[in-house]
Amino acid sequence: MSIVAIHGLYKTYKDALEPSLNGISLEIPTSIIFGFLGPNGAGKTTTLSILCGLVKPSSGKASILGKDIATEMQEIKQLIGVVPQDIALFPSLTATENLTYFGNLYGLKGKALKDKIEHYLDIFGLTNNAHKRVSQYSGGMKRRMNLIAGILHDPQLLILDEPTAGVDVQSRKMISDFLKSYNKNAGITILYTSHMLDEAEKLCDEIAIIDHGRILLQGTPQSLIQQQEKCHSLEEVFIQITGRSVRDN
Amino acid sequence: MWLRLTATIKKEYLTLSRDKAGLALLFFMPLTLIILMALIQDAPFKDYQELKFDIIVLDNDQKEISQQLVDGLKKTKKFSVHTTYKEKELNEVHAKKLVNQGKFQFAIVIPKGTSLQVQNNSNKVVAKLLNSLGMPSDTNAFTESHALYIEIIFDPTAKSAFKIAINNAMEKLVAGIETEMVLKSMSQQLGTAENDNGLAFDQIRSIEVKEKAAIDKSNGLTMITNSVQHNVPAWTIFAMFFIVIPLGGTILKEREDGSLMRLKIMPGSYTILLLGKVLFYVGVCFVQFILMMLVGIFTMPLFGLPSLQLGHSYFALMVIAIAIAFAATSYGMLIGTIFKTPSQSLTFGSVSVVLLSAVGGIWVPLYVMPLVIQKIGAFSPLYWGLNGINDLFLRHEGLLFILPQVLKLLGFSALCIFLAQWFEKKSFQ
Ligand SMILES: Nc1ncnc2c1ncn2[C@@H]1O[C@H](COP(=O)(O)OP(=O)(O)OP(=O)(O)O)[C@@H](O)[C@H]1O
Ligand SMILES: [Mg+2]
Repeated sequence: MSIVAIHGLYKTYKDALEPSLNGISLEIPTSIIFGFLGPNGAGKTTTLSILCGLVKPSSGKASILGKDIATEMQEIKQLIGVVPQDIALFPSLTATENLTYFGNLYGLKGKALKDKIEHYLDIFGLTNNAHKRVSQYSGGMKRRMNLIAGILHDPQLLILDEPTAGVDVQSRKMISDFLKSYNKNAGITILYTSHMLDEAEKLCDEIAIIDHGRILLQGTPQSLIQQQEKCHSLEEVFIQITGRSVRDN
Repeated sequence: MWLRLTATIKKEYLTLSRDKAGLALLFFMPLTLIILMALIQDAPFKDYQELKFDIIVLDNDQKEISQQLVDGLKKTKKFSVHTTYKEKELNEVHAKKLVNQGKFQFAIVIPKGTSLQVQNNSNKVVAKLLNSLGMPSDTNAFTESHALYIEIIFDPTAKSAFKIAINNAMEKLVAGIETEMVLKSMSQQLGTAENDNGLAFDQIRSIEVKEKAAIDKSNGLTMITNSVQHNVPAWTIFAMFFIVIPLGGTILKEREDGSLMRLKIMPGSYTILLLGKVLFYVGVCFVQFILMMLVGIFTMPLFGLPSLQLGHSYFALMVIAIAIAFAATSYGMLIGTIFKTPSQSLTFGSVSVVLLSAVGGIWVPLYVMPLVIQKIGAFSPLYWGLNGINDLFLRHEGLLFILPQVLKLLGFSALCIFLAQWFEKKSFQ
């Protein structure tokens, strides 16, 4: 059974000349790591924003865990974890204060919440900075915090928009190792976007390449590499499919 | 739901407590402001209260009773009596000229023969009285009297209400002296020795008229008794409305730093989170209010100003304070939602609060402003708040009386929250 099902999704933003999504259809099986790849402005964030209820689709349907995004968004929100592309934290609060507040909003409290926060801060190497304000964090630390905020409530589907953007090699490895074990140990489905194609190639069970609001290719990394002539890596496939021109949007 | 609400209030508390500039704006600025404004406006308020009129009194009679009249005028604190100008004795022509020039508010001319007339009259009255009681007295022993007038020469620009007031005051003074004369002559005719003092004038007067609580209802407004009584509530309301700046700021900051997006990703109603924010800032406003009232009561006297008088109904005061707090906070929410950049919201927020305060009678009481402004001012939420508090402080009214103001403030608050939600929904595309 697929955990995410998208059918003919269109989106044209208000005042925009062209549609950002041009009929996206996609099925994501349960318990895999799914990579959603594409150049800048391809429509990745727009798709994910529709799935988590931040943006309304112009037309089309989508459901998560069998629940319709148009009518059952409140239930969906409790079941999914979201790590937005931009850091979404309260800068003047400390890591612990941020996470306590988010936990409370998910209905978590007391010792259970406290233990969970300590556990994740430890995993992501932030224990020593737990009582420092997030505004004083480095970019990599903020990224890790941003991720923890998305998983506190044990979601069944974790949606991450470029979780490794702008972080150093160590942090990137820490994050991708975590995602791998999170998926394997807890069986959590992960939907993620990235511009790091080697990382995606290693991490993902399945991949879709999107450009100009359309899905161009979908399959396992290996099958995509094999299908394309003269390609030995996902990056080569990507370039062949989406072209070399730089995006201006 | 409860957890989400309390958690949000706690989050707002932590955020604000770390915003040093915001805290200064909310607490330090208003405290300085009310003390300063009360001090600055102390003098003009005193002037209005303790205004003394310069008047000329010409005593053409120069007898016992006319002297009594002059002394009576001198005793009144409202007048400063002059009988000379630039060390020269005055006559009627001079006096008229000086009043016309506006150098004096008015002149009183006591005609020759006044004392004699009053004396004659009272003797006659007493004689008739005793006669009708069957006691012997000579009623015909008095000369025929002709009418004598004490003239008051007014400045041509004097308002009629002022003239009437002065006329009344003079008549009262004359009547008092006449009554005293009647009593004196009665005790003389009855043979009561003067030193027996059987009937003293002040013993007769059992009812005295005393001016109390100067209420001028001509504008439906209360005269404010002093600078503290006006400035403390006025600037308190102003400061409460300045919550628009930090509150609008946090809403925009949350939009910019992405935390707003995080909140929208969370399950549960976003309205609860908004409510948490509103409640917290209402609490802040309320603390501001209490603090400023305490400053009014305890700190003002340290600066030589009178202490703030709170009126009778503390409960009604709390109610109107909370209503003002809701209005201010909701207005801040609206400003924070409508505008997309902090500089826009900061500028519009502060300018609009200053304007609403100016037309709302915060700077100077509304009744001294032009009629047009008074009419516009009636729509300012700051005016409703100030009016409500004045009703409590100066008129000593209770909750029922200020209910219209409370309802107006709460209605304004509801409108702002509704509009804020509407704008927020509109931006969801
Ligand atoms: N709020 C918005 N209003 C108008 N247009 C938008 C908005 N958000 C995105 N777009 C446009 O929609 C298109 C898709 O944007 P989107 O953010 O989904 O791309 P993306 O694949 O996430 O890109 P990136 O890799 O740079 O994050 C772009 O052309 C972008 O300019
Ligand atoms: Mg994106």
